[in-house]
Amino acid sequence: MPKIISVHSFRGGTGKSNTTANVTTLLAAEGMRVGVVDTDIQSPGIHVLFGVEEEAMVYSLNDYLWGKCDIKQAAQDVKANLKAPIKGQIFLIPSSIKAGEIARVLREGYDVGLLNDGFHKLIDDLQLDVLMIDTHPGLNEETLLSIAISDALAIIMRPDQQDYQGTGVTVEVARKLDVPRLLLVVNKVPAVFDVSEVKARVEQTYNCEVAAVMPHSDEMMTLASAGIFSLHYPNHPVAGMYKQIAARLVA
Amino acid sequence: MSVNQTTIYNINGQAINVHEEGLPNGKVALLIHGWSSSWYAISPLLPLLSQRHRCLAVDLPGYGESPRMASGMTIAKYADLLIDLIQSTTKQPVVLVGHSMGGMTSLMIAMKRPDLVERMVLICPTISGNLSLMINLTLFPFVVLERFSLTRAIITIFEPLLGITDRLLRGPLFADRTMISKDAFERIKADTRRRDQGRIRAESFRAMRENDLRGKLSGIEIPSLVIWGMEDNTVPLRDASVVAREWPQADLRIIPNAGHWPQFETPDVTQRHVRAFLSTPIKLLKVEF
Repeated sequence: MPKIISVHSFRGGTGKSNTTANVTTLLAAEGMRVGVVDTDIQSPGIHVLFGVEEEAMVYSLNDYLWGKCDIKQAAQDVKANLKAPIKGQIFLIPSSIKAGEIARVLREGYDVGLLNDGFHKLIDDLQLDVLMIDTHPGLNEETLLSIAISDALAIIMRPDQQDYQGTGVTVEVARKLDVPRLLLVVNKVPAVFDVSEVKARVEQTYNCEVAAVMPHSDEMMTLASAGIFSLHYPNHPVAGMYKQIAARLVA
Repeated sequence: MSVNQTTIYNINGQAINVHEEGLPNGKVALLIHGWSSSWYAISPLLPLLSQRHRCLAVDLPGYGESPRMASGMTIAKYADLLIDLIQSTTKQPVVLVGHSMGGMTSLMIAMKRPDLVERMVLICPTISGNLSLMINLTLFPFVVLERFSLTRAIITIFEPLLGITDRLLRGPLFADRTMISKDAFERIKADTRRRDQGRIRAESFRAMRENDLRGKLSGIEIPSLVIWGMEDNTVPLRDASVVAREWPQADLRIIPNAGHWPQFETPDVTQRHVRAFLSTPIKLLKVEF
């Protein structure tokens, strides 16, 4: 059975897109056919990690939502961009990066049901094993939908008071919407923190499994979203943690 | 495998002509047409609905190919009959798609047996039961005249010369710049003029008035999409205001350049709304935070 996996965070800048891109790549490296949809229509970005230039976007998710194309036409095979041996396939459905098109979605909105229809069509048409959904921070129509239809949901948070409160909201929503598998990832943890203590505290606070506690990483900052971390630093401890998260999400 | 056939169902001694389309094992979508029409009234939605559903498009008793109810019809009787039809065909909650008087019938089913209905799509549903002044002044007298053989004969002679039905139908039924095809128009017109249906038309006209749903919508918890043509001159948009006021949970969409037949007049926009609504997971439509 194909799986739908969403990666979410209540606040921005937690490392959502990097987590999505790394999990995607690791699953594809194992031979899976993986689709990635950037539903962060207001502030798209994951295409950068997969090396997609603006000019290469013939169709985007926006075009599909406006009825200009079939969702499959917006899917790009991005494996070649990664220049790494990957057994499976990676298809990216980017969101438009044109100011006018972002503004149009904000102004007119769109029907969330079409997004759901599109997700399922993608799974069928591209024969996907996994569909990854990268969401916009906070709660909005597309995050609610993605949470409602996901087989597994990863919520990314930093050890920060604002994140703590917001994550509580997302966890509550996920529980109300009966997500079968809910995982927390604590990211950008300062080196001085005790990892096991952070893990225990977060698990206790939300009564939810913590898949990884990831340290702040200079290598990640230096890479600056110019590529997929796990491919650039395959032996780094953070790459190992992404593997762990990927395994828990498809388990 | 998909089916496309017409079956006569027998429910408690009442024969119902049902056009069936779609996936035999899919969730049932029951399509209920309105006053003076037949299953054809909602047929533009069949290709879309058939992709996922087993569609049952009924001819209500007295309309299309279904015989009249021996004891006369009311909206509640239609609802009871369709409740029995639902129960005889599936154990799962169904999707109701009702147009005009069929929308009112859908609402009655939802009120009587909410457990049988997953969600509803209502297109220009009659709520108060009062049709527009335009219908009351133009089409209704014409319908009454057609009940009697002498006046009907006179109309039949003069109709081709005057194009009277065309003119009477266009204003109340369709938008100014309607996109309805000529074929569809002719078929809808033919349905409104079927022989021997004068009595059922008069009965239904009264039945809708006696079934005023104002004040009763607030209790409906079934997720619903309500589509209305902005130029509907048959069921006045006053009824859409009742929906907005009493039933804010319903997703009300008013479509420009459509009259009483948005499924024919603005098929793309109408289908988009329906597709989006039916594709939204039910738990997302029902969840309360």
